[in-house]
Amino acid sequence: MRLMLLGAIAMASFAIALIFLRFWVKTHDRFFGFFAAAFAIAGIGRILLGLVPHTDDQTPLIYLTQLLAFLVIIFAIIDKNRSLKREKVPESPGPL
Amino acid sequence: MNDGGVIPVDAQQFLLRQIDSIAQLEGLLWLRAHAGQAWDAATLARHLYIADDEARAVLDQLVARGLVAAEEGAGPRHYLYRPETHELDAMVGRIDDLYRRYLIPVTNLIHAKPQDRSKSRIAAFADAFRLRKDKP
Amino acid sequence: MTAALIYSLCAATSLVCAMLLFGAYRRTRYRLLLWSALCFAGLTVSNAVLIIDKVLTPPSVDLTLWRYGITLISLLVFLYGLIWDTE
Repeated sequence: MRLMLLGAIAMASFAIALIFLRFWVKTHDRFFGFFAAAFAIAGIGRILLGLVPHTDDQTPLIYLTQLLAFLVIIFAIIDKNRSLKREKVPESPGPL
Repeated sequence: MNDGGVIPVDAQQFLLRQIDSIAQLEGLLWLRAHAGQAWDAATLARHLYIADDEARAVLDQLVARGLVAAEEGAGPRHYLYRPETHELDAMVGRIDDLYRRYLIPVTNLIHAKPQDRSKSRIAAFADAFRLRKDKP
Repeated sequence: MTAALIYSLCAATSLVCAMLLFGAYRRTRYRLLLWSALCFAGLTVSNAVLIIDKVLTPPSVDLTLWRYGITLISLLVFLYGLIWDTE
């Protein structure tokens, strides 16, 4: 049961990642590329959880993968808002 | 671009990225012409000859793009023309002029956008993450 | 413990995403935003249950399958929205 759910979660994550990839190509907004990467990373994490023996959610490999996925999302949000700010003040370099 | 080369590249970029439909363009330009006052979606809908909820969707999309500001109050939401930067305002002014002089090329440009309705939904997802004033 | 801290960060991030998307849904009424908001809300719950499972409940209680179930349903809801509600 556990492995079945992990597999389903991984598959759903990859499908979502593929759809975001398509959005990125369609809109040229790298925000979607980041989300695609985040869901792909999360999917890979689930596969690792299922394949690598003796791993659970408290294994560093697993929670670091999850952390990476969420850091990518956080970065995507920051990046989106940063590029807005750059549009606002084109003359002054400013701290980033 | 079948616009006969009359629309400058930066204006084309603005139209492609920020405007999804003619109704949205006319809504933006109407608000700019009647700036300094807040209007509700129903009033705009009447002037643009579109349905109320289409007007509301168009206006909310403009708010998400930083071109229009929304005011909540006791009654329905009101909108007023308030672009985030002076550059944006200048661009909208040029678009206004371009639309008046070259109606057909501008219309063609907007209509040539592939599947603009689905793009606006997808763009709305990304726009949801714009934090505007409260930056992290 | 590091794991609990990291999963708290994940829960907080999903919560922020859910709130931003839900706010945008209320403004635009685009259903895609509702489904994505629900997905991130579900992921927030899933991360929260993980922390509760590891920290608060005794070892005899294992909420793993519930967590996976919530995660899966959240992702399926999002997938449904991405396929049917992007026109």
